[in-house]
Amino acid sequence: MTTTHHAGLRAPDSGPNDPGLVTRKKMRFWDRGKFLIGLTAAFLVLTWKTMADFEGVMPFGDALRIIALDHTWIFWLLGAEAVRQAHFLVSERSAGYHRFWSRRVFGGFERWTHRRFDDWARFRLARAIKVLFWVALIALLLGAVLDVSPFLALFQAPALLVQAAPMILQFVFLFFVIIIQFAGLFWFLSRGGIETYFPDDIKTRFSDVWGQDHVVARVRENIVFLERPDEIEVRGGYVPSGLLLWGPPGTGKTLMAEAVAGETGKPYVFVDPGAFTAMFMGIGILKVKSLFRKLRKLALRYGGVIVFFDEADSLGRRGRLAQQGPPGQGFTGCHGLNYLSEYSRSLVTFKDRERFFMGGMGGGQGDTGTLQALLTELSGLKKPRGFFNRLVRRLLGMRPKPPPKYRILVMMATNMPDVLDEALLRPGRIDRIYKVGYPSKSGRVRTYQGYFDKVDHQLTPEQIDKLATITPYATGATIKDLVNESLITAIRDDRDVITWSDVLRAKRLKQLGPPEDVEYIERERHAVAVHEACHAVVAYRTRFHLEIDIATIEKGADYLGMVASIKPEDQFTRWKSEHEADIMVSLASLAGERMFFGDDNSSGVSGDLMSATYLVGLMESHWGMGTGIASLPALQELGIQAGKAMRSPVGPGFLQEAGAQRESAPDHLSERVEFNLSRLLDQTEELLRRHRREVLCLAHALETHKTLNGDDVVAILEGRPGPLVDGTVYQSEELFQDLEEYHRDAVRAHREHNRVERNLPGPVPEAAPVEATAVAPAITEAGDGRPEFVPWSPGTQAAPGHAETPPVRRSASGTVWIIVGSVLALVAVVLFGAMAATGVGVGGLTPGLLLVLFILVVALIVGVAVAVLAVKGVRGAQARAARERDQANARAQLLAAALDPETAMRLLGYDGRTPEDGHGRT
Amino acid sequence: MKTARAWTRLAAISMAAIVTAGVAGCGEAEFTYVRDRDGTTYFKVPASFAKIDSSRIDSLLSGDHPDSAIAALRRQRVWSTAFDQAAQPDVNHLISSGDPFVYSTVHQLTPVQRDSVSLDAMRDFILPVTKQRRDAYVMQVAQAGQRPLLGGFVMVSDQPIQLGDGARGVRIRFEYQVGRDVQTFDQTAYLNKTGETVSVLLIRCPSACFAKRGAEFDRIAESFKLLRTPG
Repeated sequence: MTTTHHAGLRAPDSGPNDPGLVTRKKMRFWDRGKFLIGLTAAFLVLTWKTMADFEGVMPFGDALRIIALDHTWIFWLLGAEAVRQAHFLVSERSAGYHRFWSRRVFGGFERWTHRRFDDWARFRLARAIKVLFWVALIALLLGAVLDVSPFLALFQAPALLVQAAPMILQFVFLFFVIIIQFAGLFWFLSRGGIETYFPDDIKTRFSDVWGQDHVVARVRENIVFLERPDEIEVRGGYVPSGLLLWGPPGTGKTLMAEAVAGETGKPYVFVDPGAFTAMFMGIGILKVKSLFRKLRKLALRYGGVIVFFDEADSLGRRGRLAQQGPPGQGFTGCHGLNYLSEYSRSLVTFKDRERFFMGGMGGGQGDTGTLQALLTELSGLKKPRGFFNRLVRRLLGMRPKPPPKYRILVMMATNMPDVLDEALLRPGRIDRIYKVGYPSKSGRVRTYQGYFDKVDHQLTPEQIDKLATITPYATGATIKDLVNESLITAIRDDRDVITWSDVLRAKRLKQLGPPEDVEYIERERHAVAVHEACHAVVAYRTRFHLEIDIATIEKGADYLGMVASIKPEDQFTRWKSEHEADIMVSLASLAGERMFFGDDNSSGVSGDLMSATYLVGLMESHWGMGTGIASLPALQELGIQAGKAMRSPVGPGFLQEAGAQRESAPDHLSERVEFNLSRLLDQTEELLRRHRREVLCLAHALETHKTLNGDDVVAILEGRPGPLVDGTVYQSEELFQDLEEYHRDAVRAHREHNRVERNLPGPVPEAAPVEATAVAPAITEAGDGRPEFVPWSPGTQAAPGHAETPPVRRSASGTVWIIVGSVLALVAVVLFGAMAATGVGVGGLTPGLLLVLFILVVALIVGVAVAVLAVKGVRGAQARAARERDQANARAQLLAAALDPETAMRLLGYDGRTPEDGHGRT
Repeated sequence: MKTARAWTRLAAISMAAIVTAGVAGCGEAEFTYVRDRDGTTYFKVPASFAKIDSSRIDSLLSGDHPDSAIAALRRQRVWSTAFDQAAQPDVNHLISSGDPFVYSTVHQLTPVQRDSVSLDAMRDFILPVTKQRRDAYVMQVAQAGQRPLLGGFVMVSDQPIQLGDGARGVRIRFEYQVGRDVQTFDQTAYLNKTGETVSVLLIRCPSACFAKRGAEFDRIAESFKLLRTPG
C-alpha cells in the first residue's frame, strides 16, 4: 500500500469531488461562438458568390434570400449549434440542469469513453471530430460554389488550387526574392569557425600530455563513457556530457583536447574561439544552431561526437560584470610587491579589483543571444525534433517520436573560468569541471625529460630534478620554451649539446628578461647593491619558507635590481610568521637605506612600503594575526564601524611578543597598522645592524658580479665556496675594512653628489659562467639604424647570423667599364671569326655589313647583360628579404625572452589564486 | 483585451442581425434570377412570371424533330428558357398573347455559324427582322401555300451595343401584326468576346402593353448581361 502525497496542484479529477463545481465550467467566448461564426461565414461566402454570379443585377437582400432557400442545411446546423450553446448556457447557470444532463443523459457515455479510451485517444478523437466538421463545412461550401456535390467538390478543390498555383507561386517567389537577400547574407556569414576531424586525423595521444595524470585519467574516463555509454546507462545513470578544463595558460588544456581527438574513435569538432564573434547580431545564434545540427548528425551517424570549445571565455556571460581584471591592469612601475611571496603578491595585486574593475568590462565578446542559444542547445537535446516528427505526426494524430540519444561530449577550455556564465556550468550542461593546474613536480620532471629527450643534452637526472624544483610553476609551455631557449643559448656558444649552465642562463633570461645594458654610476650602483643586499640578507635570515633564487643589480625593463625567491616545496597554507618575514623583507630596503646612508632613503622603497602596509593591514583586519579578531570585510558588509581591539591577556595577539610595548599599542585600526609596521621596521633594522658585514659583502659581490645565483648568495653570506663565486674571500677582515672604507666614500659621494674616489676593492674574480656581460644579449644599433644581433658569448664574434654578411659590392662605374670592354672584345672576336670562316679579307667587308653585324652583336650582349643583371637583382632582393626575416625572427625571440612568462601571466589577468615562486624587483 | 472582446461580440451580433433581417424579414425574393447552363449569361424577371419549358420553342424555331439526332446535338449547344405572365402559361405565347412573354436562349455557335455571324444574323436570330429574311420568310410561307403569321413589320429602334471587354451586340425593338393585335418585340442579342456564343433575350407584349409597362421591360432587358470572367 503506497500513499501518494500531493504537493501543490492536483491533477484534474484525481482528488475528492469538488462540491463547489456543480455547474458547467464557463466557456470562453470564442469557444462559444466559433461554430456559429463559421457557419455564418459560410453563409456570407455563398451570398457573396451568388452576388458575383449575377453581377450588377442581384441586390444583397435577394442573394441572402436565394441562398437561404437553396441551402437550408446552414440553418439546420446554425439551429443545432444555437441549441447546443443554449444548453451550455443553461448548464453554466443551473446546477440541477447540468447535473441532469451530465450524470443521467451523458454520464454513461462519458464513463464508457473514459473506460474505453485513454486521455490521449479521447483527445485525438475529439480533435478528429472537430476537424471532420470543418472539412465537411468546407466541402459543402465548395459544393455550393462549384455547383457540384460536396463530395466531388472536395476532390475538385486541389484542382482549384493548381489553377491558382501560378499566382500563389508569384507571391511565393516575390517573398523569397526579398527574403533570400537576407537569408543568403546570413547564411554566408554563419559559415566557418568550425572544423571536424575524424579519427586518425590527429596524432596527439594522451601519452603526450605530461604532468597532468589525474586530469588525463578523468578525461579518459569521459571518453570511455562516450564510447561505451551502456555501462553507465544500464545501471540507471547517465553519461556526463560536458567537461570544462580550466587553468592557467600553457598548462596543456588544448593539448589534452587534441589528445582526446587523437585517442577517440569518434568525430571531433573543434570550435574556434572567434567563431561566435560576429558582425551582425543573430549570426552567433545561427552558428550555434548550425553547429548543433551538425553535431546531432555526426552523433547519430557515428554513435557519438566530441565538440571542443577552445577559449570558452569568448562565449562570455550575460549581464554579470566580469570578476576578473582586464589584462594589463596589474601592477606597473617600481614597487616592493615583488619581494613578497607570490601568494601575498596576488593578494595585493588583486586587492583593487572589486573596487575598480566591477565598474565596467562586461565580460564576454559573444553577441547577445549566442550564449543563450548555446545553453538552449546544450539542454535542449532531449526534445522531439524535426518537421515531420513534430508537426506531421501530430497532425496525423500520432505522438511524436522521442529523440534518439545524441551522444555529444562537450569539452571546453578556458583560463578565465570566472568569465563563464554560471548557467553554462551547471550539471547537465557541464557536468565535470577539472582544473588543469600547474603540473606536479613529478609531472614537471617528466615534462623536462620529455622535452630534453628531443635535444642533445648533458644534464643528469639530478639536475633535471633540481630544475623541476626551482621552477615550481612551470607549465608545459614554459618548460618547452625553457628547453628551447637553452638550446638557443647552446647554439649561440657554437655547441650542439645543452649543458647545465645553458639551462640556468636560459632560465634567468626567461625570468628576468634581457638586462638593459645600462652602467650605473658608482655611487648609484653601490646604493642599488646595498638596497638589494638588505633584501637578500633579511630574506636569508628571516624567510625560511622561500629560498633565494637570484639576486641582481642589472637594470631590467621595470626594475633596477631584484632578489627573486622560490618555494623549495609545495605548501598551501600561510602563517603569520611567514607574513611577518615577508613584511620584514619588504621593509629591509627602507631600514637598510636609512642605516647605511645616514637616515637618507630613496623613493625606491615606495613599492616595498605599500606591500608591507597592505600585508599588515590584512593581518590586522582579515586574518586575525593582529590585536583584534573581528574581520573587517564582515564588519563592512554589516555596516558596523571597526572599533577598538579588545586586548585579551591570553590571546595570541600580534603584540604578545612585544612585551613592554603592549601597553603603548594603539587601539585604532590604522594606528595599529602603523604601529606594527614601525615595530617590524625596528626589528629589521636590528637584524641588519647585526648583519652589517653580510650586507656589505653581498653588496660588493653584487657590484662585482652584478648577478648572483641563490646558492652563491648563500655561499657569500656564509663565507664558503659557492658553485660559481667563492665566498671565502669575504672572511678576510682586510677586505671588510676596505669595503667599509669604500662604503664610506660612496656615502660621501652620495651626499655630495660626487664621484667615488676609489675603485671597488677586493679581488675581482674570474668571469663567472653566469656573468652579466656574457648573459646579456643586447640590441645595439647597427650602422643602418636597424638593431643587430650581438652574440652572447664574447669570444665568438662570428655568430651564425654574421657568417653570411653580404659581399662587398663593386662600384657601378667598374661594372660599366667591364661590360663595355667585354662587348668590344666580343665584337672583335666575332668579326675576326666571321672573316676567318668566310675567308673574306678585311677589304671584302662592306661598311654596311660591318655595321649590321656590330649592332646585332651589341644587341645580343646588352640583352644578355640585362637578363643577368635582372636575375642578380631578384636574387639580391631575395637574399635581403631572407636576411631581414631572420633579423626580425631574432628580434621577436628577444622580445619573447624579455617577457617573463610569470609576469606575463599575471599581467594577463590570471587570478593567481595559486602561489608562484616569489621574486623581488626594485 | 477588453476592446478586442467587445469588437468580437459586436461583429457576432451584427452578423446575426444581418442574417435574421435578410432571411426572416423579407420572405420571398422579388425577382427570379436566371443563369444559362455555363453561368455566362444572366438576367432577372419579376417573380410574377412563370417559368415554362422552352424545348418546344427550340424545336419550333429550328424545325428539327425533337427526337432526331440533330435535335439531340442541338440540345448540347443550345440552352433556353421562357417565362410567361399569362394565367395559363403556354409556349405559343412567344408570338402572341395579351400578356408579356420572355424568351432567352444561348447558342454555342457551330464553326459555320461562327464564321458567318454578324449584327444582321443576330437581329434575325429568332424572328425575321432584316428585309432579306422577311422576304425569304414570305416566299417560304407562300411556297408552302400558307398565309404568313407575321405581317406588318415595323422597326421601332435599332441600337448596336459594345460591351466593354470585346463582346458586342444589338438591341432592337420592332412590331409585327399577329392576327389582329400588334405585338412589340424587344430583342437583345450579344456575341461574346470569343465570338463563339450568342445570347439572346426576347421580350414580347402587345404594343399597348409595351407602351404602358415599357419601363418594367426595360429593366428586364437591362438586367440581361454576360458575366465578365477575369483574364
